[in-house]
Amino acid sequence: MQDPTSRSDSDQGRVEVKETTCYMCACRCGIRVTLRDGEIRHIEGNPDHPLNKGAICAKGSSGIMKQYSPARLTKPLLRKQGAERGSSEFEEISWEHAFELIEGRLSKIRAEDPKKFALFTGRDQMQALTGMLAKQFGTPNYSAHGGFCSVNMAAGMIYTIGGSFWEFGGPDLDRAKLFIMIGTAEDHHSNPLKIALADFKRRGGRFISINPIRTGYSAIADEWVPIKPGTDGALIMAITHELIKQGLYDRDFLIKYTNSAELVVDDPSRDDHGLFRRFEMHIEEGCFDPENKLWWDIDLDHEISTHTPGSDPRLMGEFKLEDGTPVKPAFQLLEDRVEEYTPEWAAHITGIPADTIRRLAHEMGVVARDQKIELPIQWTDTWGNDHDSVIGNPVAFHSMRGLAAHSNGFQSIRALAILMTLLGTIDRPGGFRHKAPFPRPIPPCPKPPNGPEAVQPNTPLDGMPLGWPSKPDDLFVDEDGEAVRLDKAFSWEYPLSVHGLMHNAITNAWRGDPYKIDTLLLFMANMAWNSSMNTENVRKMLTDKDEDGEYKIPFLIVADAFQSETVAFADLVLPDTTYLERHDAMSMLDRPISEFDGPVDSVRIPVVPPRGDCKPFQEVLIELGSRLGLPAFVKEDGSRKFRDYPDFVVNYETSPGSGIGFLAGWRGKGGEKFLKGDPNPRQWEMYKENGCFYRYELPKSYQYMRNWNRGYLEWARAHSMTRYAEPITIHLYSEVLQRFRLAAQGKWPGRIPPQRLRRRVEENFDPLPFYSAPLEHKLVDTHTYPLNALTQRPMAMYHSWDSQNAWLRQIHTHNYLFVNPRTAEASGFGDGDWIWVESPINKVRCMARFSEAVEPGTVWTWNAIGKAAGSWGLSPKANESQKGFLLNHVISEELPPCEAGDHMSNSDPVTGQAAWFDVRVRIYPAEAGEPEVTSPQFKPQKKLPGQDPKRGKWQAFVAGAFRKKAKIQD
Amino acid sequence: MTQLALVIDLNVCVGCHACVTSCKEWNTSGWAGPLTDQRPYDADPTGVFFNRVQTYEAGVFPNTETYHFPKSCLHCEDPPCVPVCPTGASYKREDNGVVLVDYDKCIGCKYCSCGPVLTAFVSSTSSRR
Repeated sequence: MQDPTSRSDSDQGRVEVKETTCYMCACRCGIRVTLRDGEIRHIEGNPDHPLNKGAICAKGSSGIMKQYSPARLTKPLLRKQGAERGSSEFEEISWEHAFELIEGRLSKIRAEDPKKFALFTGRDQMQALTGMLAKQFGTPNYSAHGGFCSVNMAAGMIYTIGGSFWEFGGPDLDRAKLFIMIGTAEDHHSNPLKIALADFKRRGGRFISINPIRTGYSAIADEWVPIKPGTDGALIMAITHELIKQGLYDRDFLIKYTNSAELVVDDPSRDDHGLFRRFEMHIEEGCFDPENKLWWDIDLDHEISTHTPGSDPRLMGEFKLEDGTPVKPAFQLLEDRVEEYTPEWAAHITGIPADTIRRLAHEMGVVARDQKIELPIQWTDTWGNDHDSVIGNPVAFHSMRGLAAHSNGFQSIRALAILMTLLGTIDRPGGFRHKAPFPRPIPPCPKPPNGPEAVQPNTPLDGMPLGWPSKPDDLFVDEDGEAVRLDKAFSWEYPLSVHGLMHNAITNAWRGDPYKIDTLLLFMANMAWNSSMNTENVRKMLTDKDEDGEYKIPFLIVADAFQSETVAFADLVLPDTTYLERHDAMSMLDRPISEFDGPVDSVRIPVVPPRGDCKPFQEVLIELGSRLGLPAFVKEDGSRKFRDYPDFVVNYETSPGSGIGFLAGWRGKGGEKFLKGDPNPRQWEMYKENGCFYRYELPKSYQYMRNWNRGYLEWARAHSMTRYAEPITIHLYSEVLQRFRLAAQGKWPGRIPPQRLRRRVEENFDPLPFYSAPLEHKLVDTHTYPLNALTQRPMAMYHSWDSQNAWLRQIHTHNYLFVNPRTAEASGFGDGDWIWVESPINKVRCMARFSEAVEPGTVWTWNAIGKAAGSWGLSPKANESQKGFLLNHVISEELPPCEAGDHMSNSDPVTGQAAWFDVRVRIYPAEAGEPEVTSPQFKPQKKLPGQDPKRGKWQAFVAGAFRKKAKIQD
Repeated sequence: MTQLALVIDLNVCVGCHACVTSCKEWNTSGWAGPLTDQRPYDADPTGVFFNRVQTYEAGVFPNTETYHFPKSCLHCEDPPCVPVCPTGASYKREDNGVVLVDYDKCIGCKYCSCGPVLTAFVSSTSSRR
């Protein structure tokens, strides 16, 4: 044997090293791929990459097994004539045939009624392009996965502080002293957070985890505070109560940088009740919050224009303006609101002792107040005041789906953003920091269309498929106030559904409510399995036929790289490439990988050629846009504008001559410009030479306080990150929400909600956060269904992608339901026993595993592991389908009938966020003699034409020799 | 004598399994021969890993601790797996203290994994989670 420590194997075969960007999850780390004789030898983290600094995770290191997975699709497939949908009976066809089929179908739809084409995509990283195709086609029926991921986090924070966690901002752990993580947040984003958390702990930082379950990052928390699911809002409101009571808030920050001191009309008899009192002044048309508002000056004891130099306003009190209008500062209204939210009140709801709540509040408040950071960085605010330093209050938070996936999530997250604001931590060192292109105006400028006339044959959509409503008149409704979109986004049912409601698209299309569609195109979204709620029934809807024997959803196109559960239901399958085989742009127009100190974007460049007939979905979109003659994709004479996707990325500009395109780096004819500049024909090569990313570091004086930093905001406007350089004042009090509430009260001059929704809108569009139990908890019998059921994503797997991965599936081969032993004892079963988990809509059989690391009112499991038999290139006997299970079967996509309607989405009534963490269940032992296999089971999926032949019982991966041995076709 | 060692800070281990698969991909095409997998796409897959992460709980709710414990070869100063090896396949390098197994000499008797001390060379059972 060669001794591996004395002799490297790197001289074996033809060795190449190529850099690109990982896509084993959505994190987008930089990677170096070493090839031996054209096969992947190993994948390392790129040490020069700003995001992961060389770190790589379990998934990233297993990319080899994804590339050579037997689940890969390699041929376009058409459902066989006469074969039933869902039976996996396909024939191979050519791409030309596939494109002709799609073009014929879609050009007819576009000429008749473009909204009959719906495009929904999963966790793709090209929503700027997919959204653009939908808009150009003219259909409003487009969204990505955000509606069932964490839209509450995006909306709740962006509507409050103009930025949000993950891609657009995060905790500054380099300088924080106290870090609080609330709810499951392990997967957004992972390597950078792991690196930061380790450094933070080693520096002596204190880490508190508030979570019903202690796994993952919570395992290394200095303190674990178990909480009942869906009650985070109550905890945060009680902490806020305590902070205000103790005076532990940053008064100076609140006055200067938030609307806390601004005066709100306080007279319920008036139509402008709850709006800021505004004075007449010339205001340029724009989507920013004009500053024509008032403070109450302490010295003058009189109203005064906000930000008047030398003025010190009241935060509390009630006053009468000169014209007799009764007003209160917004902060006073917050204090009024939280008065009843005492720690004792919250203890009862959250299960956290009142003393603990009080201690948490004090700890946050005291660290923020007494351990201030001062950085010698000069900056100038938007009102022209020069500052010699940047101050930080070193308390940082992080949160994602744990708060978001509840129907009360939007208001809970508003409460969190307000707590972070009270502590004075927004875009300051040691607190929360933004990442370009955020902060943006509250809310950001793009708007959805606002009426059915926006959808016209052979015409692009008038508006963005997804946007940010700021008033009832921005809603996308017809004259009866009802939805225009298939998923009912931006209707009165879910007015601020800024990421759409993909989770209701299939159910709505099946029911024909609000209308029937013709063609549904799904891209890497596993809607027949883990991406749907009520999965068993959604699978039936996909195959259900009307009285004429036609499928209720007439034509289903699925683009995916792997044999997912959804592929089985396709009429037409388009084989996508893996991440190692394609070009991609993680664009500033979309969700880039920016750092706190400046914008960063990145690309993927192929390191191996595509397998078989695989074609990147981007290329499919460019091809379709060109064939259908969509204006952005063709020249004036109708001929094709872009050769392919790389050509599109280089040459597309947001408007002719704008200098803004998909990539920010190396613009200008010779690559001499950044962010803005002419297309550069060598842009891809320049990214390649720089490790596939572009990083711009802002001057230090632009790196903090960006909501109000004149230099930064003018820079951001000049580089088209934002349209205005006006201050982005934090909405402690949300006038935007109040506008919708006034409409529900009949006090808004514009649109009003339909009668059935008035109470719902009035209740939920509260301009201040409030706590209310999740909707489902109020609508189901919680005595019959006493437990909350949650899922978490294991760190070694991502969505449904990794059971096909021979290495990762050995880490998680099947999942258990984790149950606190006391809960199990009460239900009469033991560790490892087979049990039933039953909700009001369905039940699953699975195995139980005892855990002391879960609060007794909660049961949970890892998601992404349970699979349908025969899918993902696995044997029908694989553990994933026989012992693994999918909790989604018991989660409903709709609420029980209620006043608001019979088919309301099981979602947040403000944002449409899927409330899949609201599900209530009961658990009981399976009967003796029941089969020891999970339920429900489905007829095993068949292998598809173009998939690899069955692999042997043994697999030995050696780069350079593997494909030949395993008979993998190129 | 130089004694190389692997230091793992359990205070910051979140159980991500990165070390598990990273080690496997690094070594599977290397001189020590492939790290094979049995039934890679069928029921009860198993395979060779030089490293596993196991997860344990301690204490009773709410005073529960969750521990992630990466279980890799520690390259002991006095490795118990070396003297028990009947063929001399397990050996400790003199120059740096690294413990290796020569696959040309290994007969798969598993003596090295039977000892009372943790041994990483033979595929261990996967973690409970």
